[in-house]
Amino acid sequence: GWQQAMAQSSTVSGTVSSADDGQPLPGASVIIKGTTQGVITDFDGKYSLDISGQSSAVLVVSFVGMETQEIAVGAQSIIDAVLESDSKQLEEVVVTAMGVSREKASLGYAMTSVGSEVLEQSSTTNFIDALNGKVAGIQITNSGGQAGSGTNMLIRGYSSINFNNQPLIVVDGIPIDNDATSSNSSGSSQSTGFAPANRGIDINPDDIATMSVLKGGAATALYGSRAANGALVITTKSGSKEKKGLSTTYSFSHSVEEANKFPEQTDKFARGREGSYANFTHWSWGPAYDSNPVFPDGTIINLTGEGDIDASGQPIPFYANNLENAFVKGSTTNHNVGISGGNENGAFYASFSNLDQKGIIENSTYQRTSALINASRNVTKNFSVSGKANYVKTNTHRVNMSDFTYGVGYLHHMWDIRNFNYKSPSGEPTWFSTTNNFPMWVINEQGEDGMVDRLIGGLDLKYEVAPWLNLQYRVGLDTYTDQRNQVRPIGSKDANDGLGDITEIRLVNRSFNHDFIVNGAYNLNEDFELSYLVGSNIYTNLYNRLYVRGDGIVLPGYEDVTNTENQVVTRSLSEKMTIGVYGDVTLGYKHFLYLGLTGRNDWSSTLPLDNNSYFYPSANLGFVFSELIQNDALNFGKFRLSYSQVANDAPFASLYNVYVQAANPSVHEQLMYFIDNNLNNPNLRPERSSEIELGLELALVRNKINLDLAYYDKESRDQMIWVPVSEVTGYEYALQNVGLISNKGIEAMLNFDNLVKVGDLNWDLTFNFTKNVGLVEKVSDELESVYLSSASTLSDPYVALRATEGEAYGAIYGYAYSRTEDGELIIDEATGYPEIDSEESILGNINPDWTLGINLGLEYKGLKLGALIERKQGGDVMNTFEAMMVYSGLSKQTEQRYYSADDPYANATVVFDGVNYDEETGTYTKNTTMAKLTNVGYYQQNFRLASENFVEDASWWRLRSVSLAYDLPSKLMNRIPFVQGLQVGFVGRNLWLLTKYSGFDPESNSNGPGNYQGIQSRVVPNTRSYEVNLKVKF
Amino acid sequence: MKRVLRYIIIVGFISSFVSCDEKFEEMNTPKANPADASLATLLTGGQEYSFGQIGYFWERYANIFTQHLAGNHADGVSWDRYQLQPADNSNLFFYLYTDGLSNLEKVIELGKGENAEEASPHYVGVAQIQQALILGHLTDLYGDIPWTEAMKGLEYPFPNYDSQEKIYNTIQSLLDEGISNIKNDNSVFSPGSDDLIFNGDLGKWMAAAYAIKARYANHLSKIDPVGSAQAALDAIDKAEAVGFSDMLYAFEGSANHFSPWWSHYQNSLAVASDNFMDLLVDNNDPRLERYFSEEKVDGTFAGYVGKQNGKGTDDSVYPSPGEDTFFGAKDASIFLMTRFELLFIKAEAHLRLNQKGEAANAHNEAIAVSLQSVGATDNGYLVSFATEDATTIDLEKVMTEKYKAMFTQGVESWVDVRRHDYQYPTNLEIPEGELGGPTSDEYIRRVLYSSYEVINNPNVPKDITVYKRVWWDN
Repeated sequence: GWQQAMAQSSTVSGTVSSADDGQPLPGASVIIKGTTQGVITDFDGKYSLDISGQSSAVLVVSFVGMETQEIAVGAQSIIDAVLESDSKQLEEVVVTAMGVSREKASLGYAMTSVGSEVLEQSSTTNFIDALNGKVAGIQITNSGGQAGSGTNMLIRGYSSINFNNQPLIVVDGIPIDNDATSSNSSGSSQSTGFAPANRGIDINPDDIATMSVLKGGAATALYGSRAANGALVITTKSGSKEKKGLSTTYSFSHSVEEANKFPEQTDKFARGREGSYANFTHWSWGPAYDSNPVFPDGTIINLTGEGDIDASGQPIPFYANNLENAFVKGSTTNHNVGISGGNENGAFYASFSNLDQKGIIENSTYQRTSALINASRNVTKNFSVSGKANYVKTNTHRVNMSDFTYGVGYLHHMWDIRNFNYKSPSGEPTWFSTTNNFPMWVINEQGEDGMVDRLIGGLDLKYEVAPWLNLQYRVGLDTYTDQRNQVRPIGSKDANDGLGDITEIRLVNRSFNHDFIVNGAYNLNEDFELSYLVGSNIYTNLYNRLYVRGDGIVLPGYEDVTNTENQVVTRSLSEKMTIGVYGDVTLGYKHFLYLGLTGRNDWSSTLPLDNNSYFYPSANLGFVFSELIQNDALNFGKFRLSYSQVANDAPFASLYNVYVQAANPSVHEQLMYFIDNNLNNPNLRPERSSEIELGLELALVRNKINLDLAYYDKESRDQMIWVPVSEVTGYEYALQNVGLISNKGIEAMLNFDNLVKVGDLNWDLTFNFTKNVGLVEKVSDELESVYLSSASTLSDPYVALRATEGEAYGAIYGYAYSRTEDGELIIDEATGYPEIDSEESILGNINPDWTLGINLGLEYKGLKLGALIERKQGGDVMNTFEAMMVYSGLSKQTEQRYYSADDPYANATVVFDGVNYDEETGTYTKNTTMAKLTNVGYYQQNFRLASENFVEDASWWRLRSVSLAYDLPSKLMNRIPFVQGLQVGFVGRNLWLLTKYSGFDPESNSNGPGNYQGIQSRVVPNTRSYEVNLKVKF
Repeated sequence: MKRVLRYIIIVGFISSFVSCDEKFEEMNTPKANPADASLATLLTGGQEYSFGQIGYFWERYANIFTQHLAGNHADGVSWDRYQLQPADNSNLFFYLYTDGLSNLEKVIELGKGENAEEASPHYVGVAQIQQALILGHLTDLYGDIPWTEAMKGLEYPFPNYDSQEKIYNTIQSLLDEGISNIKNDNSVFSPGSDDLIFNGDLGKWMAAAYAIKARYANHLSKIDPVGSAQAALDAIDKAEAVGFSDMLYAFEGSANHFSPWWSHYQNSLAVASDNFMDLLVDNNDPRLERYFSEEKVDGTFAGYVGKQNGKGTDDSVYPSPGEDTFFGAKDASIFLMTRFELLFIKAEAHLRLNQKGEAANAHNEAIAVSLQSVGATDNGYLVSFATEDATTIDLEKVMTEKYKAMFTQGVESWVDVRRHDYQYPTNLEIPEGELGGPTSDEYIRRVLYSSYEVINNPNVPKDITVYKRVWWDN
């Protein structure tokens, strides 16, 4: 048996730390040689051991990945051990769920730890973007080049059909909100023209010390429901107790951004219809510019915005590149000051940062100011207190990218987008359209101002009763207000037929999180070590949003919602509370076999009272087989196996039906209420998922080759789905526990670290490979398929995203051409055009087949070069923007056209390869009809309506980032007073993109973060950027 | 230190394990939405999502099928050429079944109460009359529609459709029940200003119920020519005895509540058809300027020249009901049931019973009332067209004059046109198709079921085309 280590007499104590970085080693084992007496070091690497009765005790200090040391105690009462890294093993201490530091070698599940250098190398505004290509198993998608744009994150595929698929973000033990609420009346995730930011963007990347990506259920089990989609566990920087004195770092970066890819337009045709100029059309189906067209007689038109003129007989003007000219160069400037310090009694880190971004759309701006203080203090030897406060303020100005790119996608070549005077001196729009705004009107006159004030704060109390008994209480607060003000002034064609509107949105989101944790570790004997953790959690969230839209602006120029004729108010208010208890026991045997068991029970306020408790267990096994095999080539080898369950509760107030108001709550001054069209369900059960994970870690050839493989098989069942019901039932959707989704996948990391030594050059090559196969196994008993979104509008071909039984989540539906059983196109004999099916079919899927990130690092003396090349294979995007340009006549694909047989510039005909169907005989014959590629009949009513023409493979290769940093030599540094280090660097992002996709960068999507990916209708192009940066250490 | 420790344990553990049922229940209660609603708020909502909505859908565009209007661009052109899709106007079904009819159903449920002492039959009656009117609107567009199994939530997740014949019986019985409920003296609550149609005037509701009975009786002119005429005349007598007033639905004219025709003018998917325009212009009809503007919304002069049906998109500009017209004003009302319609029904029914004198009288009066109803000043039109007698009156005259008067009430006017197989007015013809020549070899007879129903309800009737006649059209 073991002996309790409370000191009585003859006690030896000390700290066990690593020789590599001087950091303490928690969980190291200290045993009296030849006995079974021993202890495990605590969080701070400290131990205390009773050696009474042992006259010549020798301590055996060991830790996975470190060389075991034997130290004779002699007369010493304090023995600090510094362990050298075992050349045989990788040593890595990582932060796992609940902020517990663990030896990575002992884990029975997959996780990836990412250090601050990754963030520095990629230098992105939104820290989530920095994970691109760096972590196997995670999929990151940015929504486009608007300043402060949102990013979607997905770990191990989609596991919820209707609800959140975003991982939980935890900062220093505090779960923080990463919502992306759009600016529509309900704040739902489906976007308006202003694709929202995800609130994770508030975190200053410079503050982050490490990030742990917890992927599977076994890794996240302790966090409970909210981490059902994985978790990002972030630890921010803190001062060092070891390193005394103040250290200050100032960093600066400035980057220039530009649009990286545009769809091709045709320059060949002027405004008009069916080959003739027309004075009131948005179409570019007019005469060919090569024919030197002139305005027909009687053309009265405002060509420059300066007023109507009689343009009869004048050449129709031509301006090239309106689409490209619509965008400008953007820029991002960031300043960050970080100060840290400490002594044996405490440490602190404080930072202040300011980021100023100007997007590639004029007037689109994002500013973020962040101040952080992290401090800790040892009140007594056993009692320590730490706290944090992070205040973030962001200001954004967004442009309605939907209206803007729509306008640009229709803009005839005869207008000069940059110089057309779109507004008269009295403020009236001068452009001809009665339905659309001139694009520059959208940019300069309309927009949304947003301001977010956020406070993340926490207090952490730790009391060490004994190494086997530590008490910890942690409380965290995450609260923010989000205020938005949207203006569409008088004269805006899209707002109340020119009367204008003003929208004011006020949102408060507040979460409290409490954890009370008891943990400890001890050695059962020389062979067995045990660590445990039990805890309880209380989480509350309040979300309160008020949306006021004022229609009809009264006094021009006074942009306040009170200055409107008619106001419509929508409130969203939800509250939620969960209580959880959880436990985790890990048993280690001889440093090579580890068994972990966890369990958590939650009670949630959103479930039926008599059925609101749910339990979910997990087990994981880590087998470090390299401990048993003596082989010089194998430095480390571990096999992992885990099984886990996770359960998830319901959305707020989904049990009973209520009455709701319409968007306009009253008519003729009479208030109205309606039965909610969404039918709630009093018998909801928690959603449950289960996952099996297998893993292998290898370090070969003196740790120069490292491999980490994971395979998982996850099943998410009893999914709550808003099942569409026949509207005749009186309802649109009914919430039911029906769906089943499975995700299977492989994650692989292969690293070569200086495999071949080349002089002073250090090099490092890492491949991250991810393949996920998601399958919707079941939607409901009655339905095989549910819509995720539909993007069909007047000028777009029909397209919808659906979850369909037997398909991966996010199948793209639309109209395909009709084909025979042999796959031949069926051609209409009369017109010669391919026929379009009347029923929709699956045209593609938004999910990639696999992704690969190739990271290269080179270091030569003070010079560091990093490069990241990424490949996305497969995954389709619906290019609705292209379809719109086919309609407007600006698409390159419409260049071959037919106006009449004797128009030398537009007489294109084609015989489509296919067959005609003879209804009378039921036979197919080879098509010979010459089809005229006409404006309306072919391009607009045939080609454009066949959705399949616009679903494109969005595979790509890209050079995601290149970074170059140079540390000035210390010899030089010594000559500069106060300065201890200086680094200058360059970062290029998205410098190169290779794709067959014809639209904007296929990564940009119209809807921002959320489940509705893969549709590119009206987006801001993605950017390529060049950054210079400087870092000075004082 | 021990105190700190004790504190931590208390805060951490104890607070985790206290019973939280009450707290949970309070937290999960909807905050921004009420659990109960009043009869008044439900009635107004039911009216707005019935009559405030229908004007934006086929009620407006059926005027293309009747050739009062011709398609001008986009969907307008497709509909003019009978190229309908299930997605066209599919929200009509949605608004009516999930909000309009279902709110009225809730009014009926709550109005009936637990027992007679708590009941508000006046609300029940008013709701029933409106449901009858909406069912008529829907069945005349689609034929068979859901009712018996409709609006019962997951009790019938895939409601079956009732035959049109059954729906017609339902309409009459709802109206009869509505009338008897209104006559009930014991009603806890009665509609007032929440009733946007008659401001709580129960007498007007009763007369309206009889008028609606007359309309739907008369629709069966092909099925039972004599019986339908007698039933219609019987109902008209009762309506006139109670004192019938026009049943209108008014729009505020505010930014959120424009009349459908004002909104139509801003976009003009459809413009005046030359067939209808010729009837107005050639006969110097004083309603011309009350129906159409000579100018487009952007001020372009169009003149009183109509467009040929099926012509498609072209460069010419054509007139539409503008802001200076009766229906095109922002705050204009739409007609649900009018006195002139009642008089035209009377004329047609008498004609079917060969009572020509009565028919002529009703016909003459109907035209005069129609002119008044839209604020048109008589310019001698009445002398030319409203001076029929037993010897001169015929069906062509009655139906042609009714056609002119019923402009904007697309669905009801389309019923007339279909009942008489597109014979009246005599200048109707099958619209031109894309390749020139008639778009089809027959006239359109119905619209297609909502795409949502096609997707979500396996029981939606199959094999429907726009040429398949509804029950009463056979």
